Amino acid sequence: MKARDEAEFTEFAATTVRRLRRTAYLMCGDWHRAEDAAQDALVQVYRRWHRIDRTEGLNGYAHRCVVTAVLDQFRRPWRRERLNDTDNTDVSTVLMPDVVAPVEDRLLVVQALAALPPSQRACVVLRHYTDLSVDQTAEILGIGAGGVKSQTSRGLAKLRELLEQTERSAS
Amino acid sequence: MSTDIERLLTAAADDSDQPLHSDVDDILIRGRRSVRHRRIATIATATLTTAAVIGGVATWSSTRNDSAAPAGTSTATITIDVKTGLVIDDETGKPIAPAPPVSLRSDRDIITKCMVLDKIPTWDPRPWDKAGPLSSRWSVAVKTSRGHKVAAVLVAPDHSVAAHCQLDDDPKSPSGSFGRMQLTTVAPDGALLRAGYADGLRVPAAVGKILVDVPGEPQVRQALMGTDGFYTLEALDSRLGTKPTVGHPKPRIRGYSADGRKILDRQLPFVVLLPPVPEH
Repeated sequence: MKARDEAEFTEFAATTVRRLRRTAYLMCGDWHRAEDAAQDALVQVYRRWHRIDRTEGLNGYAHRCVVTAVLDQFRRPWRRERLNDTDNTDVSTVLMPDVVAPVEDRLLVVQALAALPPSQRACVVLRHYTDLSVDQTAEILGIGAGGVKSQTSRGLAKLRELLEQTERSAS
Repeated sequence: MSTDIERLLTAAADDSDQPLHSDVDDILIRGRRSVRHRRIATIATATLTTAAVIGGVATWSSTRNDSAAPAGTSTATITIDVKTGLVIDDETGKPIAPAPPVSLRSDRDIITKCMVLDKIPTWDPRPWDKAGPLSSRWSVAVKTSRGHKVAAVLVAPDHSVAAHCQLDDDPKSPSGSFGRMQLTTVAPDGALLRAGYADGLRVPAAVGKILVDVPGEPQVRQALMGTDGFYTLEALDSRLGTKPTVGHPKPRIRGYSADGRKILDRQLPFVVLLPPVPEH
């Protein structure tokens, strides 16, 4: 890579690494693993730096890499002990000692996110945290726009159920 | 609508109390190493692929029958007899009778007349024949004629079947014969189309010249080459030839490439002898 490209990449990495780490953290609930995933994602971006559309595709590609890195971590044997698909688990009783009170604790949100299936969790995080569009999310996850909408909807409903946060209570 | 969730997610992802341990320089080093490894893998793969291709080609060419060591002489050797003007085949010492002429009849005319013969019912089962009836979509691979007599090889559109058609449209006694043959991959030494007939061999497309030597005949016959390896020797009624006889000498068929290399040399397993070469 040329020196000018490396300078551009360095600038991009410096400004993006925290954002990618936060996204990864919401996906995996562990700051150390999130940092690993952000690094892996930036290495992938470095490998394809010449071929990425720098104007629009850079952020999307970086997020695709970080989501892939987190999902790859789940697939590794030494990560499988982690609970990542508990659709039928009533975690509200575990996570919500006081369901009436508003959830202030960040840890409870992360634990509730961890109770979502990975695809729903990724849709919720990408749509409602990283503020990506349906099409961008669909491209990152490699699914259709309809799939993104349905997964996001189910994920939000499940998340609200877990947090006992309805739109009415929020308003 | 989901601002509550967004607010919660933003709060949950607050990393103000989480120091960043990642160093961009470390990421750069990892990236460079990754690119280097990918390049090495690409070069190694390309090298191995090239070596495999070269090795495969070398192995294949060394085991080919007609590549490194062509049968017989390496070039077609002929001599022109200055006294008689005849072209002499050096290998047999016999004069070479010229190839029969290309028929001036149109392909359409030949196919139309052969269609009549094709419609005559036959009793031999041909489960391999899926080409359908002879039609104008068939092509004429080679054709020759002499007077009222025509000989042609017709090929089906899907190249699965060939037909050998012989006509004699003399209005006094019209006659003809028509036979279908399954086309298979042409072997280096040719593919028999009609058992026993010296003009029933299909040769590889690289063959540009065919010489047929029938033991006992005073000359070697040169065939008329058509397309796709088909050839014919003469538009003559094969019934005039001698029937097969046990122990009878068999015709030898030689094929030469455009640059004179002999790339085919075989004898027919048995033979229906040809009628005499007509006076040209």
